[in-house]
Order: sequence, then C-alpha cells, then structure tokens
Amino acid sequence: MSARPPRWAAWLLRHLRLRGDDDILLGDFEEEFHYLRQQQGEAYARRWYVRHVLISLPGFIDQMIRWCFYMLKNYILVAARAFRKHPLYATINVLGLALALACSLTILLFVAEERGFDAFHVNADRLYRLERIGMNDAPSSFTDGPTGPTIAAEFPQIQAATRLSRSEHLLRHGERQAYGDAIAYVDTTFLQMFSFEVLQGDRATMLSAPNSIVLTASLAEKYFGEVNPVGQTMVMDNATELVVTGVLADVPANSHYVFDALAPFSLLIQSNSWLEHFGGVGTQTYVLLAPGAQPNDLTADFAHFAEANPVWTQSFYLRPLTDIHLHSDVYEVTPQGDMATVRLFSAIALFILLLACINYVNLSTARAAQRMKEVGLRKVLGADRVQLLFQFLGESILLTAAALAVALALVGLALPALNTLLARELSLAPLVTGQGLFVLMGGVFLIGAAAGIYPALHLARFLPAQVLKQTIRRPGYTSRLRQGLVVVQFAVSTTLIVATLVVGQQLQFMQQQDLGFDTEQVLTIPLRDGTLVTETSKVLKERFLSDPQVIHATVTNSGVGAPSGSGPVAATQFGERRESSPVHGYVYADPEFQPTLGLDVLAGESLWTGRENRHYTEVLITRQAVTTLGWQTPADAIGQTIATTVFDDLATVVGVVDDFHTASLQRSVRPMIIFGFPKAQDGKIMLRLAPGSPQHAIARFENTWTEVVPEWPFEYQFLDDAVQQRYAQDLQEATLYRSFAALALFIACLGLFGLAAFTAEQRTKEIGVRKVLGASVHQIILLLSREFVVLVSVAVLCAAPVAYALMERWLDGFAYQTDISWTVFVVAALIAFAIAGLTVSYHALQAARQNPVRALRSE
Amino acid sequence: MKLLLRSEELVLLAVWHLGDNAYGVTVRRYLMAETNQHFSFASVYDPLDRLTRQGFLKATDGAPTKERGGRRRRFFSLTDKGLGALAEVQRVNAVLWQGVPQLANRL
Repeated sequence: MSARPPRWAAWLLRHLRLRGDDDILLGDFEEEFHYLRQQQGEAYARRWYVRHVLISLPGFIDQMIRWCFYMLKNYILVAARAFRKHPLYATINVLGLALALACSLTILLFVAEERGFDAFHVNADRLYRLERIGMNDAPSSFTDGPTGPTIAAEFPQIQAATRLSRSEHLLRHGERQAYGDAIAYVDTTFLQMFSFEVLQGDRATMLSAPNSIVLTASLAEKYFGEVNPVGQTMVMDNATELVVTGVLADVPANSHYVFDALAPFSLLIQSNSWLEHFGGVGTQTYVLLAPGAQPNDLTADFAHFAEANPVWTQSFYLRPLTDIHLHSDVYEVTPQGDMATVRLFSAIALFILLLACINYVNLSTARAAQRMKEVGLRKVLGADRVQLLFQFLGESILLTAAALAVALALVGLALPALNTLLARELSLAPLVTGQGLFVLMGGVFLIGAAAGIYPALHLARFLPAQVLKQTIRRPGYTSRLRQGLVVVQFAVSTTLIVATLVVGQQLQFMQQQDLGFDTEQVLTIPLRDGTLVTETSKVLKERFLSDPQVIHATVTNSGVGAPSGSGPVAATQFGERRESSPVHGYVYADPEFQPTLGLDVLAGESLWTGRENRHYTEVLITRQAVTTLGWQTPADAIGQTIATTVFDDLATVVGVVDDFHTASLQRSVRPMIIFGFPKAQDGKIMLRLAPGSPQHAIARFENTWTEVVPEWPFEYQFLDDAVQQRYAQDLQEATLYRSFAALALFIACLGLFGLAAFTAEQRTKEIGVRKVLGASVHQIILLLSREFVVLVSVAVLCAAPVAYALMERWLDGFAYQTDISWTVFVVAALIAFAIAGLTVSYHALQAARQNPVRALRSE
Repeated sequence: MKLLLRSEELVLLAVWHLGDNAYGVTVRRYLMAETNQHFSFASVYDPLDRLTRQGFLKATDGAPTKERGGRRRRFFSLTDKGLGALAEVQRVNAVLWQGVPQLANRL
C-alpha cells in the first residue's frame, strides 16, 4: 500500500467537512482511487482524485460562506446583547482602545511624516548632500565655494550639482519692508534637481539673471498682495535691486531645507568674492547622481579631488537627501528631527496600546462567567473550539473597529492643537490613501486579535457538560494573570510619571542654572548689516550711552546662541607653539563686553580700557581655557601669548573671566577666547539698563535709531527672553510627555475601574452577609481595596529601578544634570496610589453602603 | 404508496444484487458495469442517503480496513419497506409491459 492519493487533495477533502459521515465517504473515495490505480495506472488515478476534489470545491465554499453569514448574524446579535446588558464594560473597552488608538495614530502620523522628509522630490533617491571630514576630524556639511561646479564638471557620475547658502535679509518693496526673510542662494541647476512647485515663471531660466529673485507664494502675498509680482522690483538690504522672475509654492513642511525666496548664487559671490576660490568653506553642496550611479563609486574620485585642490579636507562622502532630517550628525542650518525621539514616541505608542489591550483581556476574562452558558450551549449544538475562537476574536476585532472610528474623530479634533505643539503640518490625509487604509485595517485586525486571543482561548476552553451542570468553579476575581496584567499597567504608568517628573525637574534645573552672566535688564539690538557694525555702531553706542538708563553698552558678535566661531588655539612658550591646539570658542567684542554682561574677572584686567590702540592682539580667556591651554591658575595665564587662527600675530592674554554659557545647557561650557574687536557679521549692541521699567527707554532708543539709521527697522530683544526661548522646544517636549503619562494612567484606571466594579458585583452577597454580621463600612472598603493596593505597590516597586535606569540614560544627554532624588519616586507612587485608590473606592464605597437586605433577598 | 424514482429503483436493485457486499463503491461499480453508463458519485450517494433516511435501506458500519486508509465501510441492506417498494415497482412494470413485444427486434 505504498501509493496514496495526493496528500494536499486528501487534506483538503478532509477539511471541507462534507457532512457528518465524511469518514466513510473518504474511505470510499480512497478505495475508488486504488481501484483506478490498478486499472488505469497511478497517474490517471491521481488526476482523477484531484479533479474530483477540485470540482466539488465551489459548492463547498458556497456552503461555508452561507453559514458564515448565518452565524455572523447570530454573533452580532449576541455581542450587541452583551453590550446592552453591561454598557459599562463595553464603554470602558471602547473608550480605552479609542484613546490608545488616537494616541498611536497621532504618533504614527508624526513618525510617517518624520521618516518621509524630502521624499516628495521626484529625484529623491538620486539626490545627495556632499559632506566632508575636516582636518580637525569633525564632519561638516559646508564646503568650498567652487567644489560643486568643479565636481559636476569633472565626474560623469554626477549629473548636476547646486550650491545652497541661506541667509536672512531686509527686503523692501515700496513702503513695505521687513527683516528676517530667508533667502537661499542657489545655482541655476537647483530647480531642475529639486521638485519645488513652480507657480509662475519659467523653471529653466528664472534664476539665470544675476539680479533675479524667486519668491514663495506667502512672501509674494506679503509684499505684493493681489498684484502679480513677476517683473516687479525689490530692494535687498537697502543696496541691491532685484527683479522678481518667478513664484514658487510655499516650501512643504516636510522639506528639511526651508527658505522664503531663492536668489542666484552669483549674486552672493558679488558681495563675497572669496567664495570663488578654494580655501574657505561657506556653502552647502547638493548633487544629483546620474541614473545608476552609486555614491560609493565616487570615493576614489573624491580622494583625488581633495588632493588636487586646497580644500583642507580628509575625505568627502555623500549623505542621501532623505537621511538628512533624522540621521544628520553635522551642524544643520535649520532645526532637524531626531531619530531617538521617533523611536521613543513609537515605543510610547506601543505601550499605550498594550495598556488598552490589557484592559480588554482583564475585563473579558473577568466576565467570562457570564458567557460560559452561551459557550456551553453553542458547544452542545455542535460548535467546535475553532468556531468559538473566531466568534470571540471577531467580537474583539469589531470592538477595535468601533474604537478606531472614535479614535479617528478624536485625532481630527486634536490635530490642530497638536500641530502647533509639534510645529508640524500633520493631517489625516495619509490615512485615506490605499496604503493608509491598509495600515488601518491591518492595525484593527492585529490589535483586535492581540486583545482578543487570550479571552477567546479562555472562553472556548470550557467544557459544555461542566458548564451546564454548573460543576465548574466560577472564574473568580483572583486570577493570577489578571493581577499580573494590572501590575504591568501600573508599572508602565508609574514609569511614565517618573519620566515626566524628571524631565520637568531637569528643565527647571537648567533654567535656574547660573549662566555665568547676568541676564536681567540686558537689551539686545541686532545689527543686520556689516557696515552697521563696522561704521555706524560707534555712533549708536555713544548715543545709547548718553541715555540716563543705560549703564554699559557693548558691540559684540556673541552673547546668546551659538558662539560666533571657533578654531584651534595653542599656548606658546618662548615664541614656540605647544603641540596640542584644542578647539576654543571665539567671541568678538569691544572692551565693554565684560561689564555689560557682568562677567567675573578672575585675574588680570577686565579689558583694555584706556589703551584703545593696542587691543587688537590682546585677549581675554575663560577659566576653562586656562586649563585647556595648560596653565595651573588664572594668574599664570596673564601675560602669556597664544596662537589663534584669527590673525597671524600672537595674542597676549591680559585677563581671565569666569566661564559663561553661550549655547544650551545640553552642552558643557566651552573654553572661550574673547577678542577685543567686533566682527562684521552677526553684530549686535547690548545695553545694560539700570533697574526700573525699560519701556520709556526703549521708545528713546527707537528714536535714536531712526535718526541714525532710518533705512533699517529697529528691533530688540531682552536677553532673559532669548535665554528662555532656547528651552521652548524642551518645554513643548515636557508637555507631550505629561500628556502621554496622563493618558497611560487614565487608561490603566479605566481598566481598574471596570475590575473594581466587577469585584464588587461578584461579592455582593459576601458583603451583604458581612454587613448583617456587623462589619462597618470602612472595613468593607478596606476589604475591597486591599488587593488593588497590593497590586499597585508591586507595580511601583517594579517600575522604580526601570524608570531610574531609563532616566539616567536620558540625563546623560545633558552636560548639566539634575539628580534623580528619591522624592521623585515617592511622588510618582503617591500619584499612582491616589488615582488608583480613588478609582477603586468609588465602587467599594457603593458596595459597602448598600442595604444588605437587597443583596440577600434574592435567595 | 408513491412509486420510486428511477434512480432510487436502480440503486435498490443494485443493493439487492450485491447482497452482503453492498456499499458505496460496489454499488456504483455494479451500476456502471451493468448499464454501460457513467454514474457520478453524487448520483449514487445521494439516493443511498435519501433511501436510508426514508427507511428503504439500513446502514451498518463495518470494521476499518487497511486498503481504505483505515476507514470504515458503510454497508447497505434492504429493509422490508425497501423490498415492498421494489415489489411495487416490479408489479407496475409487469402490468405496463404486458403485451408489449420484444421492441429490440422491431428496429
């Protein structure tokens, strides 16, 4: 008996469930098969067998589908009855799932947006940014001016290249003028490489003329209103006349590069002729590879190029355009996203979904007793385990679908507020595409199945005889699994609470840190043009100093924000450079810098006061720089000379001031060199004001300003506001974490609320008997709450070490860290207890106060 | 009593002829051999089922055998009711065919 019918066909036949006596039919079929095999040969018999199975398929499938519908109707009816009979549990499940889904959907949209940055360019897969490893081993995205045109001309693998340089300018058209619009200087190839949408003008030629400017739609609206801007003129920085040659749609929110207008790179070269030569980095370079070219093909060419030209570069490499937003490790012109945040948010979304699924598992298994009779009856009537499994899974999937509908509505309502918080333009649109719908449907099935699989297995396991004879022990309120799941829920919630508290503490800590200078009553007035710094600033400073409320005034390039430059500095001995030359921050300022900011002088003089002519080669250094340059004490440094990249001469250290922060406190304080003259770029005047309301003084400053430089608008900012602004993003993030923690806790409490209600219901009679025998209300509350108190305690104990480890890692990202004190855990535990307690005690109180007669009368 | 359908009559007659060895496969084989016609599974099993339900046939499950992949056979035998129904068909046939000469010879 070696030959058997084809196995798959036999399997199919067996599983079609023809009718009750299919075993006999199968036997007959197999006997016929062997008969045919002897008569006609093996092959014929097999063909015969398969043909018969296949022709019978349609009929069977038709039957199966019909029965699915008959049963589906029944399932839905039964589910709806359960819903109506116990609306509380159903509401808790739907609400919890809906909140969790809403949260996850938002995060999903955010993550999809973050990962899809720059993908809208038609050539996105061939666009790269040229980056380099400089001589100081640091990667940078800035390259020499001629690099782009040279490599585009020399290497056939590079189809096109464009330089990109972005700066803010004063633009004027007629009466309208404003400072702060970002102009990107680009090569004529730019619009061929990138797919920014052209609304007016010719994509190929609109950047050809050196005095042309291409506006984005909102900028065109700002300056020209309804008038067609093409052909009109604008004046840039009170000097250059430009002709509008085209209008682009606004830069999409998911572009890593943001600009308000485009201008030809040749215009930038006119005022910065050094960009024409190798030897100074000043622009970014983007390339479009030829079809089929791989970025690695170019490594050798780049090495050759770096050798042949004076570019001060160890090596060049290409970074894919779509990687810039999340994976960049170099300085970016505009703020970019962060892969760590994306991962963290995804993790939080998963955890919150987990909490909602746990609610479903807990409530369904707790209420299994109520479905036991139904399961028993269905089994008696011939349902098997698989059918029941699908029934209960279907129920949870249906519930998830209902929750999804609620969630979509919630997200729709919350998106506008979230968009302001995240500074993104998220919309539900990606969900309505084919892919989006697929993800939604898949999500509903997965989550429904994840939540429903355990309850379904649990319910389908009941044996009908036991159930109907009621010999089975009722699944009670002390299931180990349920307790474990509650612990998980509260552990996750507590962890999030701890995280929120630590994040808040760290932010407060950073805001209260001594920055090394006095931020109160310091007014900053930006000087937007080089000539303002080099020529007009002295007049302005004198005029401002004559104001009664101004104590000190300085012209500087630094203060708050990034330092105005950096470079290697070496201490010298007997005119010889020492070997190491670590990188120091450079600050350019006039002699009044130290008193204006209130920096502490540790040694030497404050600055060159009274010796105006000598100050070009005299510098101040900070306390850190004393150490990095190899001296023991501040006093040792006085009179020593150092070599910098700023000028060829050696500079003499005349004083040492205490350290001060120029960047966010996320970075440690840098060693600084303060040069005694302001640099032409990024200049500003800083005024230290006497105590008192500055409003009148500001009005006087504005008058003075318009007298001296009427062609530039007057702007100002208080130093403490500027410092606060640096933490704006961190504060937003803290708000988000707080919402996540609140959401998690709320979902966990929903589940607890349901469980408590169930427990109270189950023990109605017990409570009645206890009360009759003389138990007091608070004894009963204690009885009902004790279990939950134990569970939450275990959760807090589990969460504490995990939260501690996680937050330690988070704090590692900051140079200045707050300590995680034990009070954080106590507060988190108290919050968890208080909320869990409130949740449970509602039902405990109700149960305890009920008249025992009502509970006992039914027997 | 209602007359049997032709298909039912054929199946009952096959069961009578096969005696102790009447089950699905043999019934179908017998009919195909004697009539020189193809009988699908459905055209044999459906009447067998129906006749059993109506009490014309009695089904007895045999022991599992190896040649059938370890599955049972279901043997059929005529009940009194089945015999009666066949007798009735026989009677009606005899009446209707009386006086009709051998038609095959006439062609």
